[in-house]
Amino acid sequence: MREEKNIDEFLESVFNELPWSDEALDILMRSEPEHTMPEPMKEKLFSKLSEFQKERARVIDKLSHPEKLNSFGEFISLIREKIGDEVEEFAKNIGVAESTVLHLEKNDIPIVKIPLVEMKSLIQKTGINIKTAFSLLRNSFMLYGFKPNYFQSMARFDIKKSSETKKIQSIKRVYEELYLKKMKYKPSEKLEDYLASLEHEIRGK
Amino acid sequence: MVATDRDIVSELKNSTPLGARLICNKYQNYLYHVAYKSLSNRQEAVSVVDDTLMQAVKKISAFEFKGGENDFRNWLFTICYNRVRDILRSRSSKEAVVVLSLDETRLNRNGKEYNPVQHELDKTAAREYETEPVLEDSPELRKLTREYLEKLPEKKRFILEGCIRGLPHKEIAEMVGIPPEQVKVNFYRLKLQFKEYILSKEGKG
Repeated sequence: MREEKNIDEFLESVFNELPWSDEALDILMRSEPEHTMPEPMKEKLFSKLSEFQKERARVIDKLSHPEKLNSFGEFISLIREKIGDEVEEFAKNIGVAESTVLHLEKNDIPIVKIPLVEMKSLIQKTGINIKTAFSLLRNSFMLYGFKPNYFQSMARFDIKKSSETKKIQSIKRVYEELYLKKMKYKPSEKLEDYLASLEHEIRGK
Repeated sequence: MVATDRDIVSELKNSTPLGARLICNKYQNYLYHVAYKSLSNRQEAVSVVDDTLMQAVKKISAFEFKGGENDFRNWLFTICYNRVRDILRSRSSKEAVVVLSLDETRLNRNGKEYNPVQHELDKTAAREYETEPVLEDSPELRKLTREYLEKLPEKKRFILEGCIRGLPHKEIAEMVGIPPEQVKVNFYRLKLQFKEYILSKEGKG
């Protein structure tokens, strides 16, 4: 009897390391499970999944009008969220360096420094329209150039220590200042050359 | 009425909260049952279900029915199985790094000093005396057992798997086409054959 128990326990631990067979799953799904998930955990899990679904619906909605996004990095980040990929996995699937995706999403790389092959792959594999992609790339380029201005303006208005009303006023002034600087922005020749080469790369071959 | 897998996948792909409800209702108890059977720990089993369903929902856009109606179910249980396997592995690696000092003494609940090494040795000796193991668990034995299971004819393997996993004998009997009372007899014989096979391989037979 002890011997049989010993064999049972051993076989059970071996089977625990093996996936269930199709036939065993058929039976399992037909019968009432012996152990069931505790009720509070069920509700917690459902609300977590449900929240995730709502968030993804928002992502899909935003992606239906990519031209309204702020930058190419934002577009990439939303695509990644939609398909549920981590940066590493996404970069591998698209065939670009992980750092390219990270920098793009944070807008902390000048677009012209991204190799054409990688950019081509990003545009083609995400299926974005070239015209929209170029417009977002121009935004990204501008945002990158604007980053120091943004931090300078934010620092000048010392937002952290002010009251709520004062914070709102300060942020408005930061926006105004940045807007005025934007008006002085001139398209970069470097970027336009880069985009022309990229277009040639995408359409030409 | 239970939703079909195609309905669940379609709702999940459309990012509706209903998709979350359907997948939870249909699968969470079964996944929990499988995880609990393997891990014998509620908290870990809950975490496996949580991870499995979260990953499935995240990656749903990559899922497609290719082989048949069971594709989705098999995919879910594979995710679950991988998670369980990771936990079992991390457990065994944790067990392997317990280091006890020979000179160390500790206090028991009654405030008496004891040597933890001697205590562990006594416990092992008592366990061995009580159970008289016929099979000494080892990686080689597990490998041998898996090879044995692979070689077993499909029906016999299924009887062994079904009985070890605690599936109802009536269902197992229906699946392999034998009378229910024969399942128990077959199971007993299979275990004897298994023991003989292992002992002969280890040169003890």
